[in-house]
Amino acid sequence: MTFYDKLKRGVVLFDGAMGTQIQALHPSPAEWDGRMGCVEVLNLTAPHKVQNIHEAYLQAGSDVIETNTFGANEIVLAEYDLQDRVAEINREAARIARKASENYSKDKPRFVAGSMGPGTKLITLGQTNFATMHHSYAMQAQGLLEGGADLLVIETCQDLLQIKTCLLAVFDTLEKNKVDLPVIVSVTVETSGTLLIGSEMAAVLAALAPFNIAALGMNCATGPEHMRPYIKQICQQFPGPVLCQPNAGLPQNVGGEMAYTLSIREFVDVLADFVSTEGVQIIGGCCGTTTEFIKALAKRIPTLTIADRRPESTPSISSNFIAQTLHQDPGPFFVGERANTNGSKEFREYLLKNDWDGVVSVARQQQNTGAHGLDLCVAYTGRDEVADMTEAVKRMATQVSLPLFIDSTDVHVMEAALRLYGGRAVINSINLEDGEERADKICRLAKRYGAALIALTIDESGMALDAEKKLAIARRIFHIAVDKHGLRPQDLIFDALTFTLGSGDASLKKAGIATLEGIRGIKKALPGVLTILGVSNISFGLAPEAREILNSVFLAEAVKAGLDLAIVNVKKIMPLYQIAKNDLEQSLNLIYDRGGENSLFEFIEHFQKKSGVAKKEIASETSRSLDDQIKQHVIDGNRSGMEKLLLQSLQKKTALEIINNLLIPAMKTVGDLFSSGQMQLPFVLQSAEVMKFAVDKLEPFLEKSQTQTQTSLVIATVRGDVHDIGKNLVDIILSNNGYKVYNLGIKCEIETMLQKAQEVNASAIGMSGLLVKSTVVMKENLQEMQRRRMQTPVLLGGAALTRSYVDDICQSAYDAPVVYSSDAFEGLKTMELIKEGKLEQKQSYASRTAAKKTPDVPPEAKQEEIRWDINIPTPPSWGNSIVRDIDLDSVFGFLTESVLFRGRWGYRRGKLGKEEYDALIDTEVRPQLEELKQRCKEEKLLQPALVYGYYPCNSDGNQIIVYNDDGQKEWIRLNFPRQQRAPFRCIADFVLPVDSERRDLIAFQVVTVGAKAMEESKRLFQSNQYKDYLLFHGLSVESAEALAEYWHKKVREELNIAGKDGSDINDFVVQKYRGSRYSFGYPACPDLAENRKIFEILKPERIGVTLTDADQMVPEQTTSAFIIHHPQAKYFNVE
Amino acid sequence: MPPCLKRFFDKYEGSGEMEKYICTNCGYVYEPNLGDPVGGIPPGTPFSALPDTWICPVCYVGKDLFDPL
Repeated sequence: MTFYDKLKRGVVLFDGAMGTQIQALHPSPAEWDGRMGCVEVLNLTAPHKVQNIHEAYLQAGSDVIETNTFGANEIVLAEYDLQDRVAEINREAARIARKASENYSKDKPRFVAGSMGPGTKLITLGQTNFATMHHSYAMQAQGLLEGGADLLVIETCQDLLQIKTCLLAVFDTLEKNKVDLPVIVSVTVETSGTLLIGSEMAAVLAALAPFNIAALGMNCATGPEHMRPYIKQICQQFPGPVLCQPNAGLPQNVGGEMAYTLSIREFVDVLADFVSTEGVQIIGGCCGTTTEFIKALAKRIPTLTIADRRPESTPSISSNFIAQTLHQDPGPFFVGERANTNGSKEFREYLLKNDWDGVVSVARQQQNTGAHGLDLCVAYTGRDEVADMTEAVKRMATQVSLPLFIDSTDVHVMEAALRLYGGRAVINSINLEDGEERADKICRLAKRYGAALIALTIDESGMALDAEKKLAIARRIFHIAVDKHGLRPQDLIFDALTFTLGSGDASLKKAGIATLEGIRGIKKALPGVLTILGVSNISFGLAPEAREILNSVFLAEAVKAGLDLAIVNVKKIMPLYQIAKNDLEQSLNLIYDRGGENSLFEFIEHFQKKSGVAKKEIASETSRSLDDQIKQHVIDGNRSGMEKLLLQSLQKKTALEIINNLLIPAMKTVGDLFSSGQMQLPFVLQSAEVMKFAVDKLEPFLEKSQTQTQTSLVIATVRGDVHDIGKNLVDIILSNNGYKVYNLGIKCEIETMLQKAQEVNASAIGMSGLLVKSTVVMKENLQEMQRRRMQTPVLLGGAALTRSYVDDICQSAYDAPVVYSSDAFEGLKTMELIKEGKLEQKQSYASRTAAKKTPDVPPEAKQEEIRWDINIPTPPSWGNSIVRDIDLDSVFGFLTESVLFRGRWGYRRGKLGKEEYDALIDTEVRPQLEELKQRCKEEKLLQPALVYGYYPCNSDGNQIIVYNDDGQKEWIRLNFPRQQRAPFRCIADFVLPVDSERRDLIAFQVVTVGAKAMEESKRLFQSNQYKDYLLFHGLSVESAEALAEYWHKKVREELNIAGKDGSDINDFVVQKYRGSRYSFGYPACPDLAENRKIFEILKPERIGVTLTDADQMVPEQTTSAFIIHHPQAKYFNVE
Repeated sequence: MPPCLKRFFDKYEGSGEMEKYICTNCGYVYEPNLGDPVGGIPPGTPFSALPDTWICPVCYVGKDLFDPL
């Protein structure tokens, strides 16, 4: 019996996990042959062990066992230096499985499946290429074939291009050996819902549909239940048998180890359900499953009937990511035409400069304009088209989500593209101009790579003008493609050609009619095929405005005649209802040649007159697009031209209408884009700037009575706290979304807030603060508001707050809603609820979770003896000194870019791909940094200065005693808390005790980038330069950190303890250098008030630094620290 | 990451499950291959599998301030 036969007889049972079974046998070092971890080598060194595993599964009931060859392809085996034994390993593996299955064939037929895994290289990401991968898999397939495999399973697939490459290698090998073995494909869908590379299941189905796959399914990644929606999809669309081999659940952390914990019972129940409800036919297990799982499945199978399926699929194409049906409803399928050297000057210029990012950007720009797919043509005389197409497709494969139409006349160019593209592309195009030979070549290509194919109705005698000729050529091409090359009707997309009606050429007067007839004829005579047109050709030679309308009308007529796809400039197509009646009539007259001799002349005249006629009609078009332009300017953060647009708009709308109907919805779109991770904070601020600009321009036009009662917020940073960037971002976002914000600034007393709130009848009060202390102040403020029986809702924001602290502790102090805002947009949502009267108060529970989880003490910290046989460094001098002329570039050298870019500036990677994010950083973010650094230097916006000093010291219990410079007199004592659990650490432990005969050394530093930074920040905020405000503020704060870092290193150098510095921050965490720097307020020494003592010692007032009464340093861009030189000094937590 | 792929992708950095994440507040990098001993997280734990209460071992901010590296 062949496996094909087996597939006709009910449920098929595969086996379970192989890797874990092998590891459990603990192969000896000899068996590993120095290649520990390469389980495939065991086929050669310990075949009996492998055979035993197979037999265990056969005994448990498996119909099919998979060979131990998951990684046995050349690319992977080369990493173990086994590249010369690929065929041998695969042959042996198949033979071993063959032997095992022969021992168990008496009761029922058994089958050997050659397992082919994905390997180590992701081809879509360019880690290998088609030729290498094809060769690698071909060798493997050959070995498996020779060893006696009954079928081949391409499994755990993560990359569409890898699947196709492997399929081709397998099919080529089968053909070479003149055998027909079933080939199964099984993909892995991550918990994200896509393949690792990002392909949705629909894209997988579309790309694989043209191939002769015996069964399709899923394995690995998750347990069965997670697979359900995708299994369903496959069952609904794939015509052949469906396979499912889940893991025994998701990996769980069990006692410090990762384990698969799904019960056999549940595993079997869900798989059984898949069989009897969805129609899955082939089942088995992947990671974490054992012979017990297989036994249980085998027991269950006789009770199951495979559900009846009626799989259906619509012809589709795909990118690596998404699929698109070729027939859209409502039609047509729009093919964007701008990524074409002949079509777009912008594209051409990027190409000629080899600006590949620019090339890709033209493609990407079309994505949001309504295009369903994109045409790509890089042909340019004198350039290497294959190389250019390679560069373009390589990038677009991962950066463009819409499917591509490969537009070229050169077969090599087409093939180069198809070898780089995992999705299902369309080849544009073939025709019979040079006879059938070229058409043959291209049909073969389409068949081989599973592409769809555009065919033009052109033959050896030229372009077909009339409908009959068009159909005749289409029939010929159909015959070649379908009958000769085995393509399917739905793989063909016929272009009945469009000729211009604008040339006045008498022979072309009926060309429009002929095209429409051609489409009808082709659709009728060749059912299943699709049709396409390059629409704009119809109006070539006419004036632009006339062209847009004629194109749109002709397109609508063509769709009525059965057109499926259209190549257009998507932005310039208008729906019929937007076209004025007489424009429509003129166009139809021209298309259907109704006007007699003069139809073209009348058409042209009509459109010429139009530019002078009824402003109303034009206005209705331009004002619609004017609305969109205004909105788009806000969304794009584009101020240029905005004023003009607003003034134009004011001719038709009131200022209030513009604000409410255009500007505010545009800002809402910005908010949505931010929340969904499609727009980052600096871009949001740019939009907000444009919003503010627009509103300011419209203000004089607002009627006094029209300034409506806006929902308002009084916001302030609480007493003792100077931190204001968070609060100011809330101000910016809320004010530019239609709310009135009263920003009371920093260090604000509750009394001031409440007075203002009452004065303006505020809808809500917002409190912000950075310090831990401020969270206590907020609670006290709420208690005061409760005492006064207030009902105003309160929003709280700040780095030290947690949601549970706000929901439990703060909410329980006040009888009206208290809402935590993690960022400005959450605050915006809350204000919206308040505006709509829908804000509800949360129930406050007794704290179920601790306010903040504190990390455990790392085990190695236990019982550490502090050693004192170390040298006490000698400082260059005792006492302190002021340092002023610090080179800003040296400071900038210590900036942590990742914190600056991602944390302060908000350029997160989020959902962007790595290359996309790197491109953003290189093209947008880093240049901004360089420019800003330059400005800081030129305008002296940052003026680094510091005070630092060395002092003798000793420890006394939990205190550090600081002496005068001469070491004689005790001056100041610093207090430190001690951990309440093992190892009961305290910072003072790292300082020489007072009863020893020597003095120890401690260093202090207070560094600042100067008060000018605060002033400049304020100036930027007040002049509504939001984005610059964010950027400058962020840089100033990070520069202070960088300065602290820089000086810390200086101190270590002066003390000769610099040694080898770890260059990445993880080293700082585990203190790979000597001389730890501590700041009050951090976990090992949380009491901020101790800063007062550093101030007494260093007197940083001399460099313009002061302390607020909540012990926060001013200016904000300042840090203070002390440095303990003891080699064992570490960071730890005292809470 | 399942064992059948883990042995391949230990070498391959930063895609999908085994992606490194950086704390945008202090720069600490969470490496799934190493886990986080301070927080009791075993090696091999992908970022997505970290509990919601997990915090940065250096500066104590929550998961939502982390960004894929």
